[in-house]
Amino acid sequence: MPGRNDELCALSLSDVSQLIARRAVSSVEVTEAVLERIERLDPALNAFVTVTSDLALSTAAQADAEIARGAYRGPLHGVPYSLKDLVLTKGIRTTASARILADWVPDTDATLYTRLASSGAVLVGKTNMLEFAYGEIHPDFGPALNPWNTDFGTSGSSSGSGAAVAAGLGFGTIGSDTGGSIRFPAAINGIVGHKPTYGLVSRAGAIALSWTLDHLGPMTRTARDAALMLDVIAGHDPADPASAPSRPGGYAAHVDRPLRPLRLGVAVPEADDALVPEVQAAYERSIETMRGLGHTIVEFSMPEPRLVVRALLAILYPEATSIHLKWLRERPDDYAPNTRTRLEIGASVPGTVYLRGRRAASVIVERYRRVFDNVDVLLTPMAAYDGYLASDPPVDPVSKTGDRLGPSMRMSGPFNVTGLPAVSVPSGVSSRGLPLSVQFVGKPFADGQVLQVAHAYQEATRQHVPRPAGNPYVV
Amino acid sequence: MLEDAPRDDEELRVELERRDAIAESTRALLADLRALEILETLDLEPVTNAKRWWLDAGQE
Repeated sequence: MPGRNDELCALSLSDVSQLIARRAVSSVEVTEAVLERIERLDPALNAFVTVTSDLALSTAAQADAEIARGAYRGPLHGVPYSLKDLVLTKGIRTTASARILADWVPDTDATLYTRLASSGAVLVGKTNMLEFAYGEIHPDFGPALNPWNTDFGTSGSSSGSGAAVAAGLGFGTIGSDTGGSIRFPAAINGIVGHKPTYGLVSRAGAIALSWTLDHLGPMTRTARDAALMLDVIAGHDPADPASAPSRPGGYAAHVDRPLRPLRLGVAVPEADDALVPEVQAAYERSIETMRGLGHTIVEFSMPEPRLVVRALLAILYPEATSIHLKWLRERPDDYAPNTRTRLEIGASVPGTVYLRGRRAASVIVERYRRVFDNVDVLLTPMAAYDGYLASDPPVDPVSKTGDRLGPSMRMSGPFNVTGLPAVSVPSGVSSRGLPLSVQFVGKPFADGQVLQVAHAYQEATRQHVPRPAGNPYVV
Repeated sequence: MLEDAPRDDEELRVELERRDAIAESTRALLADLRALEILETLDLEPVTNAKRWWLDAGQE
């Protein structure tokens, strides 16, 4: 039987927020429950690089005092959360799960962290990730393991973030997504991962991988929870050159509105998408669920799937190498082997190829604009499989056919290249007891609508509720 | 060139193999990325349309 601590940790962000707001439970009590759970479970999951217990307890005590005197700041006030360990936190080690930054303590905060701190949210720690968000686990940090089955990996690169939220080690987290790094670990760990519209959430103060493709966004157990976090972190920031003008927020309020019938574009999978049969079947059930909710189903083919992956790699490789060039020259042996290999390959991509990739991105945006002439929101599969063994070797970038990472990004990559908002949502559980997933995608800045659709889907399917019996990790 | 030259023959062999593999992979990647050349460089319409879509959405 779960104890009170575990019951608290299993609540959604929305629910625990309401309890804290009306003082039915204190932030300190909730924070202590999360910290106790981290202490108990994280040795097996390795989701955290750093746990900020003292900071969390003092922030929680401050939240309780403020709420008691009527100075309530909003839905994140007093709510424990975590940050992927590439978000800069002044005075708190920020490693990007890399040996090169193993002892680095920044003297500035990321804009996003400043906003979360101002909301009164309680930072409980910094989460493990693939080294510099670039495809491989650094052996100094080791893999985060999947709470659904610790023999399995978490995907990445926001690997610890996915494991932490699935295991109830905080009510939300922030991930980064350059080719799918929020949505894949959300999918594989059975949670919601929202990659916002490009420019909606500031990246200032996050360790970059690719300025053109990087996005920061929330990972939570429900779409409504993601909207609550987005309400805090979205907004213009002059410190991020790609930051869009501020827009009306109210994402959570948008999620709560009744959803009018939509024209839902459903992607017709191709053989190259390599969906395993259970993913295909769950995807088809998702389509029928949405049809049953009264939406009009319109089939479409994902535009230029091979061109998308090529454009993404043509942009990603040289941008990542340009960011890492100094360390690549001075400390090459401190990278994990595949990270180093990718960075070295990136040094040989000519400027002409990079610019063609950038130009292809515009063409792909135009193709998606045409798709959206006929539909309001897209539905696609997310992860093509239900999981992989943690002991499987990493994807080797050295290949006679180019980078093997490319094909895995056929569903995620288009929305990094186009910048369109996309959210990964649980869609079922496989026969191996691992989560399955689908993805909803919207027009530029239609993040509220995409989360609203994801919320309606979750309410209809309740796939985020049934948890494996006897599993000590998943909440 | 090899400022970070390995210390002995075995390390040198491993390092040269590694560099060969990277060179081969880079050639394969660049050959694959040649597909991006199908785009007509002088046709600005897709770029303009894409930009307009984005701007219009931002103003809604």
